[in-house]
Amino acid sequence: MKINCKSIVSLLAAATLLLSLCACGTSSGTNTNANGAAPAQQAANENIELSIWHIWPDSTNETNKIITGFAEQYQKENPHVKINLDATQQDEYQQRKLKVAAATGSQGDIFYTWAPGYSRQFIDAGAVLPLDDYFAEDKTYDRMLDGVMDYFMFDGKAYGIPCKNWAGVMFCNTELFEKYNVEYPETWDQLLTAVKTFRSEGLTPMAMGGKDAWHIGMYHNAIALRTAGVQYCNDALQGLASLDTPEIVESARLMKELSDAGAFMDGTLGVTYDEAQMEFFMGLVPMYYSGNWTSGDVDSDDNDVKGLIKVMPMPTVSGGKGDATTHLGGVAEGFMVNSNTKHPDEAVKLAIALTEYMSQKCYIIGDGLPAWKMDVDESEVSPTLIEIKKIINDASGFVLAWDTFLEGAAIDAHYNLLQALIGGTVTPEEFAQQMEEANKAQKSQE
Amino acid sequence: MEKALRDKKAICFFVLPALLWFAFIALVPILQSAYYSLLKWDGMTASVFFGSRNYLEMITDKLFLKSVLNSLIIAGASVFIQLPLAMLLALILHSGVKGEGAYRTIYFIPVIISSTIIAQLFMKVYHPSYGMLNNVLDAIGLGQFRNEWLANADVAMGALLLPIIWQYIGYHMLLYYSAAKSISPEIFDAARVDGATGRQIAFNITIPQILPMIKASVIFAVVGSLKAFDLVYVLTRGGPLHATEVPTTLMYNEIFVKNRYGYASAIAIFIIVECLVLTLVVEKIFKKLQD
Repeated sequence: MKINCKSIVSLLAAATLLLSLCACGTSSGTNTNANGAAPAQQAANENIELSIWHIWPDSTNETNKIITGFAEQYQKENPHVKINLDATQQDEYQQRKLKVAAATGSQGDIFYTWAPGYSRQFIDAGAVLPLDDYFAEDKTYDRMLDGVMDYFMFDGKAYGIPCKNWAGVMFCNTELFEKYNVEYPETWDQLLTAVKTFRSEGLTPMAMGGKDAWHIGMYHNAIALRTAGVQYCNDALQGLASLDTPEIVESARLMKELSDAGAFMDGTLGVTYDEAQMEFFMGLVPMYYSGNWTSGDVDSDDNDVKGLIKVMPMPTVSGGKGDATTHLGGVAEGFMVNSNTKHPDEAVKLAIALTEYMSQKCYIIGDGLPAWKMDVDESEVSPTLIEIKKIINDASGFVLAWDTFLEGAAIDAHYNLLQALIGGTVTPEEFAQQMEEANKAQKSQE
Repeated sequence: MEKALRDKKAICFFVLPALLWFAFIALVPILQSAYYSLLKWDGMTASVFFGSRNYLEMITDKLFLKSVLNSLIIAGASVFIQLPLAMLLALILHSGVKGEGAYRTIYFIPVIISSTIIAQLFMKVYHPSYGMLNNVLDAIGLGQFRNEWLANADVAMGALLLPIIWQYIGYHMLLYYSAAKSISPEIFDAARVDGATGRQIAFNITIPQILPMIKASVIFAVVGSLKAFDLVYVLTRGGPLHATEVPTTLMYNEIFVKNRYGYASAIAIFIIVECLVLTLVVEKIFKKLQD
């Protein structure tokens, strides 16, 4: 027994030693930060490290190359700054890594994120640095396009820097439309006619993978924009107005009507979005409602639809409040700065430079529409993306996909209801009513 | 040796490192989860003590009860379909067919393939338009049985069971096979001399002799089914319309979509307790059988 005690004591001692070693490890890390609050000029002479967290780990990916190239260039121009890039695959990053890290404030100094719903939790937890003072000094707003900061404002303060805009459009395969002599749909009735014609020819009219509920949301949210209008959708999603209105019911009814008319692949609820869009890329499906990010793929040599694409807005609905100049989309993606960063001045400077650079380069590779003012040689840009940009040049308003606007349990409810709508287990009325309940319940928690 | 085993201090000393490590990576997280399950917590902001309310919500949630039922169906199918098939294969191999080694390897292949790949494979098999299953049905004149296997809530659970059962047959087969191999060959020789048929040998000698291994494999199958996640998640994500939801997919959704760490921890604790209870039940049943 005596020896037992002794061994326990010595074990405890060893454990303490180990712990104190770990503690030393972390504290020596923060020691360099002792004068983190020093004036920027003094800090400029000191060598610093900044980490950037992003979501393009594949080194052959174009966006990855943009960020890597930017980091090399920036380090050359600012020799005292060392940039550590930390890339994680999107789903892993968005669903797990960033959430877990932000809970302890240990995410990267600059991290990629999604506004407004998704990032709300980080802002509430105090993990994000407000940027108003930096923006005022840098005159950042003069270089951004109008309205791009809307979703990055939380409680009246600017918390992030947008790097790209997106918009949803209907991609049409002109070869199939001409072969079967179908009119390009500008109104809902034309759309239904097109769907029925293609169906009778044995084609799946529209590409949609309902196993990924957000993909159903792309179609439904765009229809809701047509029935209820931009202003109302934005208000309702923020909890300022009800989602249980005749217009939202109508949007769900139209979605169901489209599904019942055979617009989507049989068994769409068991098919992922990339399986569905692959059939569009192979030239088997005439219509695909998707975001501008698809333009890079449809112009790619790898796919059979290259050069056959016509883009157009979601068809309008008679009696609806949203016209063809309003689109699903908006500026929702960008970078935020960690409030625990050791070098806030340098980090914000880097983040601004990075987003401005990315905004331009991502447009050239077809990944996003610009969020900043810029001059770009459009001969380098994907032709389909230029067409999309023409469509949105006279846009009168945007609504983000609902799942970026909603939060937590309300997103889950939205996904469930979309699938249930297609599966026929909820009625359009129940869809609207339960969406409103879920959104209200989620907002009241805050 | 006996002296060494009597030295409790020595035992303590040698067991301690492993015990500490186990405590660090298994026991502590479980205890933490047990604590989180009493909180209302989004993983970010301050938590609120919630007492047993997460558990009360859980046992009254129809979706949760359905998910538990589904996981029990998977466990049942594993024990009553997968294990007998594995046993049959093991007995056939053990009876000395030609190419024993080759079959053993082939049946074991699915076990070493990652579940994600198997799920992707079966997604292609079940695909509504170009899937192999539907095309084969057409080809053999059974076109009326074509189905949207993963999209139809009535058949999705069955479609899910097939790869789950298929994947681990080889594993259980190998367990039985190696246990049967370790039985002394004189027993079989004696039985044959006495004129026993192959079936009599299997039921009266082999199976009773390897009962301990059967017990272990039943426990593996039950526990493995209750915590099945990867195949289900990739193949159906618990859909369509929650038809194939199991507690683990529900837990994943609660944490990573709905940000409800407390409630999800309660589900995790439920899974642990469920596994322990069923393990005990299996132990009890086999104790009866062995007596």
